Amino acid sequence: MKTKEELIEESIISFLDGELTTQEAEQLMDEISQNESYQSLLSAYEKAYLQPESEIVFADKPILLKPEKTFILPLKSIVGIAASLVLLMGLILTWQQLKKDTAMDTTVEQKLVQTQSPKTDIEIEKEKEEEKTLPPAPTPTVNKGNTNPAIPKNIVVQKKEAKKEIEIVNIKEILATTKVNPYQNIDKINNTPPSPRLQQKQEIEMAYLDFQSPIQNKTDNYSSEVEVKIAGVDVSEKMNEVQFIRARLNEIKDKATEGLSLLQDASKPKFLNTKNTKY
Amino acid sequence: MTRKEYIECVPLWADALFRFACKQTNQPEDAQDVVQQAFEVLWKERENVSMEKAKSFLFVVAYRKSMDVHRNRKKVFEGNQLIDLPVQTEDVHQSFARKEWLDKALMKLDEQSRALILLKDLEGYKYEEIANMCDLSLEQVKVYLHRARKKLKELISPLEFANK
Repeated sequence: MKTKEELIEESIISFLDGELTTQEAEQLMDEISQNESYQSLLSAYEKAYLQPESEIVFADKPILLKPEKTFILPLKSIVGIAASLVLLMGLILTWQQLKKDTAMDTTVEQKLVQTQSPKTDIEIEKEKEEEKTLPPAPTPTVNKGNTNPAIPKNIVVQKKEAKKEIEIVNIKEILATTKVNPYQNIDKINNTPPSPRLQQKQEIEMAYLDFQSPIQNKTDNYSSEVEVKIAGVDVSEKMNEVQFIRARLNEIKDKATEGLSLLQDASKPKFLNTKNTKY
Repeated sequence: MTRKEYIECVPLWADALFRFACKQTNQPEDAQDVVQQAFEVLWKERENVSMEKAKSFLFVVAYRKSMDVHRNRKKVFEGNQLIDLPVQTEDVHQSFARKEWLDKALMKLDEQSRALILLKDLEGYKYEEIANMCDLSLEQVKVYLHRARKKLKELISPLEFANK
């Protein structure tokens, strides 16, 4: 059983802790005011309470703050990414180069087509009519007349009374023998057989190119009397022109060599004939 | 609790927590560790702790950590008399002297009673809140606190006598 003093003491502590209601607090204060010993007890307990010390502060607050996580790539990943980037760049450059090459091929084809003089509508109509009236293409015959070893076996030579006619039948084989075939890409892209007119142009073009390389030497042996036909088109005049130009070029070349030799002779130092000279 | 709320908590409660830890451990270095650990725990548990309960959470963690510090130290304050207590008779220094006395007297209390006194006096928690924070019943808190107050009063009575 607690004494009155003990109860008052507990009430004082509860009062100072702020745990009493206003009514309980008023009642306690009345009792304390009537007794001096209770007043001294209250003041003693008041002094036993701690006061907040604002001067004590935590100085290292920044270490408590959590920085935002930053994503750092490891060195291995960086090297890997760099290598893959270099590879990618290389691939892109190679692809661009290839693209450029194909573009150049197409421009060459376009230029070749453009070299053909443009024809008017009337001419085209005439050609169409001629195509209709043209006799069927002669069937390839055995190369009996071709005795010249310079002429390939696939070129059929048909001898006539006055003029010789060379007709290139299998033009595709000749095209295959040439170094550059600008039409092969077109065939691949279109996957459709070219029109007769275009085919004719191609054949003329390729035959002209062939004069520059493999057939050139072979046609040298033929005189102007030989009539050359490529897919039914007479190109003997062009061949004659080519031969004429070549002959002129040879003449110029000969003259140039003569001139050069004369120059060399002139530049040589002239030595005195010591045998016949009298001092 | 978001990251932003956590950052707001640092300036709000770090000082109070440090004061509590200082009084509890009586070592500023230990108190710093306690504060850091408390905030570390809060950071880890931030998804489960609301902003309103952050303060009590921090004090609970600090209370437990400071108890661990005492356990590790295994220091027991013995003796009933205070040694080398400064006795100041001048009015100017009376409050300072009383504070020193109180601090030393506080260290004479057991860790749990000290923590209860600190939570009550410095942070103004109610008995019920303290009971929840320290895993004690309401009656236990009342009893421990009353005992601690009586002991503190007894410990500082020589100073009062000297002043008189």
